[in-house]
Amino acid sequence: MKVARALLAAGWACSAALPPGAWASDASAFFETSVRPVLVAHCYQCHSRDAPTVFAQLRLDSGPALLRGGRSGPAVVPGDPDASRLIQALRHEAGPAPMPPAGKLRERQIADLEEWIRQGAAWPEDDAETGGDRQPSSPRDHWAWQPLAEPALPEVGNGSWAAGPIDRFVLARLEAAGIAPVEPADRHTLLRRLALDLTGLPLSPGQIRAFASLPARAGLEAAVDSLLASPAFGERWGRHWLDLAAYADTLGLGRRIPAPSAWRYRDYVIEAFNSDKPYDRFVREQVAGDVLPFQSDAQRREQLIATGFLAIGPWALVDQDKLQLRMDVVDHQIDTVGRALLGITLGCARCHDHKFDPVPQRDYYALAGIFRSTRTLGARMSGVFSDVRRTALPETPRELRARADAMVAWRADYDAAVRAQRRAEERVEALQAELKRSGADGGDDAKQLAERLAAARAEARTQKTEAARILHYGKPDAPVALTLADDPEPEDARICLGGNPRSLGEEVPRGFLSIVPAQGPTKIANRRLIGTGFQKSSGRLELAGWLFDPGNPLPARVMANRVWQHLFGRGIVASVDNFGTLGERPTHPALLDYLALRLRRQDWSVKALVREIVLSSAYGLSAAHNELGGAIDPDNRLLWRANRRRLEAEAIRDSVLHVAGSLDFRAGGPSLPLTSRGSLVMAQPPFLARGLELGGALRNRRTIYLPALRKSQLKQADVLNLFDFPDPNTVAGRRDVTTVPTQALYLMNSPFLVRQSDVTAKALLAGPERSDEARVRAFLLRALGRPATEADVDRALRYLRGAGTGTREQAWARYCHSVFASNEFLFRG
Amino acid sequence: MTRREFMGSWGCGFGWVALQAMLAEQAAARAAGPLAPKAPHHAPRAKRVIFLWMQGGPSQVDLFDYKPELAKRDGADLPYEMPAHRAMPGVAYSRLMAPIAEFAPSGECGLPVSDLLPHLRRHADDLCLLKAMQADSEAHAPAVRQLHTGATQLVRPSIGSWVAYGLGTENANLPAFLTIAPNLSGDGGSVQLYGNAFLPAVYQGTALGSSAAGAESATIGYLHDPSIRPGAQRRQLDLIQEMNRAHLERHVTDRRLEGAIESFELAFRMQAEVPSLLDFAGESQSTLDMYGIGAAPTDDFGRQCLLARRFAEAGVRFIQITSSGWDSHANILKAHPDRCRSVDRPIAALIRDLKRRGLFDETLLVWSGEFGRTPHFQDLQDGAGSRSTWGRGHDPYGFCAWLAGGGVRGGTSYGELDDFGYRAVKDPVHIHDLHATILHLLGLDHRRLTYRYSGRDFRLTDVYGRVVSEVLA
Repeated sequence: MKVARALLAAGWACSAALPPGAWASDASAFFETSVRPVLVAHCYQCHSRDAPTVFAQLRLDSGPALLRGGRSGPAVVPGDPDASRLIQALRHEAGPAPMPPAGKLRERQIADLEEWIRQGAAWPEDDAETGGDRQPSSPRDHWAWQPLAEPALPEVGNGSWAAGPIDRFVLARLEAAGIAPVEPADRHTLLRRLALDLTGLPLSPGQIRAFASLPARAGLEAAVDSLLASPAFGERWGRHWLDLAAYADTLGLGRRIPAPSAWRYRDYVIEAFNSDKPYDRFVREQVAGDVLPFQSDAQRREQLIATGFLAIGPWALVDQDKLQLRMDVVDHQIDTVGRALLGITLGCARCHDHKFDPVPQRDYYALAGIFRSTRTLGARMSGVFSDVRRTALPETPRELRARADAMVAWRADYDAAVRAQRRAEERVEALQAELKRSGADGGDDAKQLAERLAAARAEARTQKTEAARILHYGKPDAPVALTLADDPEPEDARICLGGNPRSLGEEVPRGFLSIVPAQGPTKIANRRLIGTGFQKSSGRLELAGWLFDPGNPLPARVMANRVWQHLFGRGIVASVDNFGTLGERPTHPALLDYLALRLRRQDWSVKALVREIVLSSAYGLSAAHNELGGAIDPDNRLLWRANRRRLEAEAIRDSVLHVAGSLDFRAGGPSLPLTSRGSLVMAQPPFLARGLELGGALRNRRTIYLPALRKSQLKQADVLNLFDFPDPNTVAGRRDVTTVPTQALYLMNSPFLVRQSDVTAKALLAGPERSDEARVRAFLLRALGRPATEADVDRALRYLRGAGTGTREQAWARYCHSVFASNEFLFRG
Repeated sequence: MTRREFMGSWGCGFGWVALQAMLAEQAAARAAGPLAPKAPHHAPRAKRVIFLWMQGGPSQVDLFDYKPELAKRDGADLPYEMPAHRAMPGVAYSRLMAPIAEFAPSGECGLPVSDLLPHLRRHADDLCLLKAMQADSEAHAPAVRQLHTGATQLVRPSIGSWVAYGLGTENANLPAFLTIAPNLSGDGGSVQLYGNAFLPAVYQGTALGSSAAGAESATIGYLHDPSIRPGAQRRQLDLIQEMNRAHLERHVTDRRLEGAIESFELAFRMQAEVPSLLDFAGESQSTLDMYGIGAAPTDDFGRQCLLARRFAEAGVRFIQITSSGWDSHANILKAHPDRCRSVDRPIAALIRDLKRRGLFDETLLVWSGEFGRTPHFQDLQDGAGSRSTWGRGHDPYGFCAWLAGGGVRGGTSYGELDDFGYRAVKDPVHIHDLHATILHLLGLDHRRLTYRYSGRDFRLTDVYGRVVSEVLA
């Protein structure tokens, strides 16, 4: 028996009101011989840290856990066996469910447990929490709310492996576990990984050759800088952010109500990542952009649009109970701020004090007061339907003039397009008439006429699409955005008892979470200066300030962790939206603080943080297997290798389009036809389908520019429905990665894959390559980002030769299709 | 050490037995993936579920719960209070409205069933009416979510996903959870209703078409590429798998890559098996007629019922079918009889067909709306309407559902509404209780069927739910 076991955990002893030192060695022996074995044998299958499921959330494997108890309350009352639920359950008394389920313990065993509780239910210290991740006795001591601490750089044995501080933190844990990192990834694998992680697109063969021709380190840095500077960076990382923002181009959960100006928020987010807007600025604008000072109309516009973060959501606009609706909006906003920005789930505190995190119900209603004093919804739209606030954005006189000119030009374009369409249609009619006149003699003339008719029909279709595109997507309408605004008469919220907005308790002054040791003000000023006059404030401006108070460690930790997750496939805290006591523990706490401080100190530059991480040796590891690592750390929590990851739905679609040469790189703009504004569409809206049929308007654009819907995504972008696109109604910082047969069916049979494979094959056969072997090599470099091996070429040629019936082009299309459906294409190594 | 001594050393043998069961389960799961059949918690009474959702909310007082007092006091002022805070339009002029149809005692049990359901009435002895159902919301979307997932607002796994997670599949060539022509565009309809939420997505319901598209187009997506012949596609699949295996070899071992390879094989098998399941060519004309397939009012739901039977027979664990359009705020005198006509014959046929094939006793049928309808009328024309334009509002405070098949006491009813059919007054069964009971009949304990997500254990029934043992056979 270790000496340490003879000591009580201090917190435990205090809470148990037992004098320190009461844990005598014979008590220890009694515990080890008569108490612990009984608990282990009969209870731990369901009530321990290692149980597959901890039933009733009750653990019996540590002193604090016993005291904390489960759903029904503490399991033991030290000194009072009769009042202890554990004993009541074991005696099969009324109250708790009789335990253990397999049958009552022997009287002797129960008596021993009673005696142990009577003596104070003491527990040896050093295994107070088995497994090393001991929970502090008070949730206030939980790691996440502790101030950011400058971590000491750990000493490592293999210093030459470490490219920088990040690697030292990673390597120190690996060395402590006795695992050596695997070899670095080969250059082509790493380049493909970088391109997919940073932009969601594969590199072009030209880029691959250029970067691969440089010396290793220089090539890597050149690739990283080039990818960070690419507009595609914002299109990928902006999407990561939209996963947190409950963004969609429609409103309402049960119905599809178009929000045709929501796209401005989406474009704002993409641009913020591309321009590397400092993260603190980015968040301040999204929380309080409408009340931030501004220097220009352009800045004002941008800041108003930014509030779409909280203004666009799954609002149940049709809810007949408008008070409930208002509180549901407030709840969603609190939930978003909590999980997306702070990594805390606040929703529980709507009805009661948070059971596990130090978030009292008062804190929830302090925030609720802020959002109740914020206007999100506007007037009734029609009948029982509420509407969101659609705000006209300010324009300078010059911009106004430019837009007036553009409007004239648009009108002219549209008229021209309509005329062209009309002309083409007349031509069709003329040819039809001619064909009729000539009779069906089947001669060469008729054949030629039929060909001309087909061409004319195609032209008419094209012109019709173009006219529709100009009408629906091209009109330079007055800019409108969905925004927040402060209520002119802000007021504190009263606690809704049990979450019921009609059962009100005490009033709570507006404020923030008490767990964060802010250095600045924690109360909302009643009035503050805006422009030239004093205004009352909802408190959002103060909330934005409090988020980035030097004493608030959460936003930096949460964002640094998100960046890490997007690059490594798993956060240092795996539960990226929940840093609370029920979330997962950080695998590398010191590294997380290092990254958070880097983010904060480098002017909150996300690109700088990404750059430092991807240039580390840890990021550059191969995904190879290693016996030792696989045995000690099968989940690769310590990062002894790279994680292989399936591409996200967007990356699958965009990559296929890119490799096929079909990708339309045009950025930004409306995803719903502008003409849908204000309509109240309840069923599958035909305009959505039309939007994608509009020729060049949307069809081959990057997936982020397609309309995002609140329910299932568009049939034309079914890849989203099948490949784990997240529910756009909630904060979803971590996407599922599933493997189901319906995905395989899509990959084998979807018209999208079939068509793009055809396009790819056509381009390949029309390309400069002179032999099939050269074509295979060119295609594989483009699709897989690496030179083809002999085996690749053999396999391809064998398949093409044995293709049997069908044209050469069909055989090539099938081959390209197979590569698109293969794991190597769908996973990033 | 003897086996007995060894078991004794584990204490009562419980740990040992449980451990063995766990190990066996794990081995099976490793061999056949996450959809491998799993042992239930206790002996099941039913192997599978067919869930018939009446989207919009059928009227209990017109279909299953005859209230003489309501008939007698037609046109009387409301004898009960309505919740004041709902902005339900058209109730300012509300008065009681007598049942819109006659009832007759049916079957040997004599349960009164409405004249609107003449076919189903013949199976009264098979039905177990839950007459005092309760839900938490008066609005469609939350109530619909609750019926399917237990939660009114939050995103939670569908009951079918929980069942697939708890029991796995009976047929390795098919998904474990299918939803036929799900309602996606109606009030509250959404993929959430068959979504896996935080459960692994392999437990997600596979949708066949949508209610908007109609049952005739209910199918599994991308089962067929018209531009390639099956032989050529097998050859293409072989190429994909050859590439995948070469790729995998370079990486020694990776379960996800292996999973992707397996999913292609299952998809390929589905291509072969699913189309024949979807094809009614093998069904006799008399069977098609029995379901009302080909006849205008019954065609859609008849197809759904027949598909459900075919998938049940093929070993799908949880099958949902949907009849939309029960939300009769107006013109209920016409709307409800229309809806009834569309489902009555098909449901009766489904029961008969399942019995004929010996599947009835091992299949649980669940029929329910997300709520019921008020005994008082609603006049959307604010006093200007007439009886023929009146409808009934939403009533989550007391409504009827029924169970039939495996493990259920047929020919009985449980629970009571007040004299007018508005609120539950005796033996209420909440949606959570219904869920607990469904799981129980499948051999699952709703308190033990948990999934750890975001740091806590989730259940279909959250912290609620009671198995309604009174209705078990």
